[in-house]
Amino acid sequence: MTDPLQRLAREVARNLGDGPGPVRRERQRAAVARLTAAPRPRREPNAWWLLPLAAAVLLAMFLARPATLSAPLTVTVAQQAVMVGAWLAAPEREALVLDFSDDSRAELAARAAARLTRAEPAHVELALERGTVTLHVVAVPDRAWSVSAGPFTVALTDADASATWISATATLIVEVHRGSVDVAGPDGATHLRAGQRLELRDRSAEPGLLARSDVPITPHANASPAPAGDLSAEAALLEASSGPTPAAAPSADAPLLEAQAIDRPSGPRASPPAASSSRSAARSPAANSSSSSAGSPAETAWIALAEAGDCAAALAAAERHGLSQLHATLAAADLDLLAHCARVAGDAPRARDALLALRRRFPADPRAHTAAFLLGRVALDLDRDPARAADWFKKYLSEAPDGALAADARRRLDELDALH
Amino acid sequence: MPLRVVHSDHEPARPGPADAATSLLELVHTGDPRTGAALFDLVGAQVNRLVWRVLGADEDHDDLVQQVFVALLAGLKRVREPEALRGWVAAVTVNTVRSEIRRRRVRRLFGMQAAAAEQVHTPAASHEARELLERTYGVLARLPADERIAFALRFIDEQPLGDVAAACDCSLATVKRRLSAAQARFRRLAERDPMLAEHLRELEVKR
Repeated sequence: MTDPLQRLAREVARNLGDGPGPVRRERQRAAVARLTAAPRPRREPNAWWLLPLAAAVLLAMFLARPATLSAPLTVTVAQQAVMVGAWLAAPEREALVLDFSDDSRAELAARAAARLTRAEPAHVELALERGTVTLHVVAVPDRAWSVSAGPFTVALTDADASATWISATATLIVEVHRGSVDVAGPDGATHLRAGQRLELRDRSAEPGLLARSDVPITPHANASPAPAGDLSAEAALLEASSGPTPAAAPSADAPLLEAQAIDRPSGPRASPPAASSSRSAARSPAANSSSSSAGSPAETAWIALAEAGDCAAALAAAERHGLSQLHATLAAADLDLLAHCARVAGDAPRARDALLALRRRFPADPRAHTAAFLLGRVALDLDRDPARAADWFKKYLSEAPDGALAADARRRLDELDALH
Repeated sequence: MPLRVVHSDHEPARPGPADAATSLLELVHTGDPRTGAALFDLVGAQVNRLVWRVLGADEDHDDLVQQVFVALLAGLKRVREPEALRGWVAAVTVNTVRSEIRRRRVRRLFGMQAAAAEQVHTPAASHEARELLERTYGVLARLPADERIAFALRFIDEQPLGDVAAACDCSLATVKRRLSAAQARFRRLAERDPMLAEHLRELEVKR
């Protein structure tokens, strides 16, 4: 191929790769596998008399059923009926509320997505795919509710609770505001009561992160211990209320992602997670040598989110870790990534801070020049400050007159001049 | 509507995948619950690659892949020849992506979707690489859906013309016409973008 367009396409393919990383693919696989999930096993009757007996039992159950269950359960969003199997995604800045005919409600927070997988009189089920769902479940006899997220299931019958699924890190956070819920996972189940919060991470989805959990697992006095030890061993059971916290347990204010990301001394692996390995490869040796925190678990958490494309969540995770600390310790490539996330999330101050930190700490790095151009973009696109934008574009041109973005900077300067 | 079986001349049948495809079709016809996982194992990489390359590192990528698999599982029973599976998967994937492109265009038309949806979220090594991806896919987003798909399959995914035609469910002549139109339109639009224009000039010089 000699045509420049075809060479450009080839370059694009090289930069783009073949698709998302293994963590996301594993999630996709799990979702697809669920589409053909095992049907209920059919039991062959052992004798002919089982059939009439079963019919009699069913008839008796039908006659004795609670009146509330005879009414069909309907679900609406903005007064429009929602069918079972419907995929529901909340808009970027608004919640999406599902109203059930039994006065229960499920509210998908902005950007959250879920599928209504069952809406039967006896069982309502939502498959949470990303974000937060807040449930207000009104008690109806023999009606169970569940929210599935990854390998976890949250079951409730009469409670107010929220479940947050961070798909990039395969993390489930459950908070109970009223009543109680049961949370089950591959390793067992646990019971939560009002005022408690539970955070779980899928060990199979992100072995790198899971293997490095060192949160002291101290079930709170109000929490029932998990029947299976493994689940509680992976869980950080935190007190969400303002009551006293056991000394060994992390405080409710502790950053969740950070809390999960502490190395376990006896952890089975020491290599960095797959998601961050590509970043490590992208860092220049100079940048690596100047970074004291490269590859640290807290850093990994936000980088994993950024690499999964969830810039808003990545920025939030970085903020929980402490942006000023990250500005002081991150490598140039990661500061660049942080600034990128902030720009995509439309957060001008944080984008600017990361870019300024990049320029301050790595003045000789070519990315510092690019940062000047990006500061111009932030000023122009996010701050709507043409004068400051022009200053930064000029700065970029003075530092990199033949840079890849020089033509773009000149055009933008021309446009800004034409405006004034 | 009868389903057209599409043969791919790009990837000759190899014993491994063909066996896997045969096993998969057996699972399908017996209604085995492992079908979903087996299908993903067999064609997950192909579907991901196609969606990724046509739409870029789109934030809705995983949802689209899921949509493709819903469509694949719905029609899998109609595939009788294991060697036709990959071609059929490509055609279904392209159909799903085409619908998505058109849906987005309509949404944008009515102001229901922000332009940010076209943003490329790939964590490429450098800002320049990210910028190049964003701008390239920004231009591609302005091409008609059929031209965009043909361009992406032929030039970004470097598929043979026959495979592109089969995936797009059109003749070789049609796909050539679409490619020619896509190239001309892409050049015209890229000329308005200083970075892309500059980059194309550099590539021209290197030629």
